[in-house]
Amino acid sequence: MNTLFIDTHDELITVSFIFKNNIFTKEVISESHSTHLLPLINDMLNEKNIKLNDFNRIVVVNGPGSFTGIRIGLTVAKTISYSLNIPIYTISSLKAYLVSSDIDNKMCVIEDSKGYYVGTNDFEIYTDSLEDYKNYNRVDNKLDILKIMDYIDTIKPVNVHGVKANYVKVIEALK
Amino acid sequence: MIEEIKINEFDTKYFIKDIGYVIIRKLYEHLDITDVYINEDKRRQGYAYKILKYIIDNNSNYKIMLEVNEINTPAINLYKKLGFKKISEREKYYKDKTALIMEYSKDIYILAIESSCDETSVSIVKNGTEDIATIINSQIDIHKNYGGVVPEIASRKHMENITIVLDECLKKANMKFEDMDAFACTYAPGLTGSLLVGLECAKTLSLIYNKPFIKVNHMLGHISANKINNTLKYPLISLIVSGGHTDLIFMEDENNSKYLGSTLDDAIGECYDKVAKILGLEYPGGPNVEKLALSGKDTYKMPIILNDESYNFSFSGIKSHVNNLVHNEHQRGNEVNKEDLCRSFQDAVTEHLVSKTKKALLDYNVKYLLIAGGVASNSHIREELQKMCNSINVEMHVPDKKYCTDNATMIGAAAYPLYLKGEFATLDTNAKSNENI
Repeated sequence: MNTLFIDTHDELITVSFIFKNNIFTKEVISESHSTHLLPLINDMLNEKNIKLNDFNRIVVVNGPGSFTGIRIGLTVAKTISYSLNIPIYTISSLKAYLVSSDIDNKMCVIEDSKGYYVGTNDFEIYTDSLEDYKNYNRVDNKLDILKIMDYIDTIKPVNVHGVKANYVKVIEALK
Repeated sequence: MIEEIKINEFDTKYFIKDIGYVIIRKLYEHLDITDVYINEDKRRQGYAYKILKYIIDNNSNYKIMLEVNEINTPAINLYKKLGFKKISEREKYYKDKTALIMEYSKDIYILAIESSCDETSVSIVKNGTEDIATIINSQIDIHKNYGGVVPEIASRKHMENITIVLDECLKKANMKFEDMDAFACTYAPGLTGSLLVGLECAKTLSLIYNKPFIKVNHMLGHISANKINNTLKYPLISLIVSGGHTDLIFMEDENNSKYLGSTLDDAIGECYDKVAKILGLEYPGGPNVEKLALSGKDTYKMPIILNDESYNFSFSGIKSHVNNLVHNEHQRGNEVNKEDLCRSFQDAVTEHLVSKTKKALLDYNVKYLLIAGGVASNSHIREELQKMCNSINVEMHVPDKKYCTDNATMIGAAAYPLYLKGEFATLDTNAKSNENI
């Protein structure tokens, strides 16, 4: 499986090429993902002298996190998947951090300006207080690409036209 | 197996042994096809096509031309199939018969994306003027519930729909991404979150297929809607009337334009929508105001709008006037006659548009007026501008209604001259909410 992994849910863009067990990862801290994501992918392709159609799996983080950031990653991943007919898999940002950690009774927390996205193996919610979740052990928010790949092996791809963002938080207009 | 042999300094013979040959003459940047001959028993088997195609493919830097007898239909059809187009005629070149002069020019297909507001649109445009296929997915039914476009919802829908709209467009055109010569999209002005979806998609396609990416200003797109099935005549004045713009632009030629004036406050489409809201009409209000005005009479007195020497517009005063009028009537316990009010309002803003546009045409002595933007689909405004143009002997062009509201065809039309000039954008291009042409 040659996998292209894209994560744009927060200010750190992560792109990985996974060829068997060889991982080639680059990260960029960016305030404008539109300026950085595609140049980063292009540089990596050139550096490794490979083409996008050398991949046979795309894995993209679909949120929660920055709404705009998620959409940039998803649009790029969907366009590649659709045009080159490569199966696409989505994983939530909370799940990606959770599967990267080995601790027990674990919880992942992603903060934003007004509250917290909380994820465990059983649920994902948005809350303004962590008071109710004291019994859980917080994971470090770090990605372990190989562990994420092991998790992806256990799930099914998504129809490219049906790829959805995982916003978790409900915006005012949709309440 | 095609072989080539140099005859002299200028002439080269391309041939297939025992089949036939083509002789060409190269002079500076010109390549003339001077002779085509296929052995009689080998004709109609595609050999001439094969040799000529080889010549075209291997001489892409040359301007390739030929002449052909007007009665030689099989040859003319062969040249057309290869992409040659007639550019002129030489009368009685072959004794009493005319020669057609043909030049090779490749057809350019641009796939364009528009997502600046609440329409996801993809179009394939040939040579900047021919609409091969266009798909427009409007989100109006969703935004109607909120009385206007909710930017976050618009962005979400664009992201969900983008590949579906791409797919429908390719299927309608019966083409593949590989057939495209460039990918274009709107990058400004508009709702940033919405713009980003089209932008990232177009940039990604450019990366995948290694074809140029062209960024297009949305307002230039609206003006370029006039290039669809039409050739522009310069100098011209362009009147842009939309939900975000009311501008008068003087264009001396394709590359030189100058802003004459624009709205000092609300755009005309915005004003229509606000008046609709005051009258309790459903979103999108503009077309509903137009509909009611049809059956109304000009009975309400409206203020005279910005009657000055500038080319600027103003629409907030008349909006406030309508608002006050409706409130005063309400307080007196009366209902306004919506049809008559819409008519009076529409007549007043139309008069404002017409008088400023007329002034610009006369002052700059321009004989060609372009109308662009969503409000150009308003029939009353179109008719009144047309009457004014007739009275001062000016030709007016307004796009088909389907190209007035947001669509990707106009983006493809605007991208074509940029393609020819080689004005390509890079993968780090970002969306901009605001930018003048």
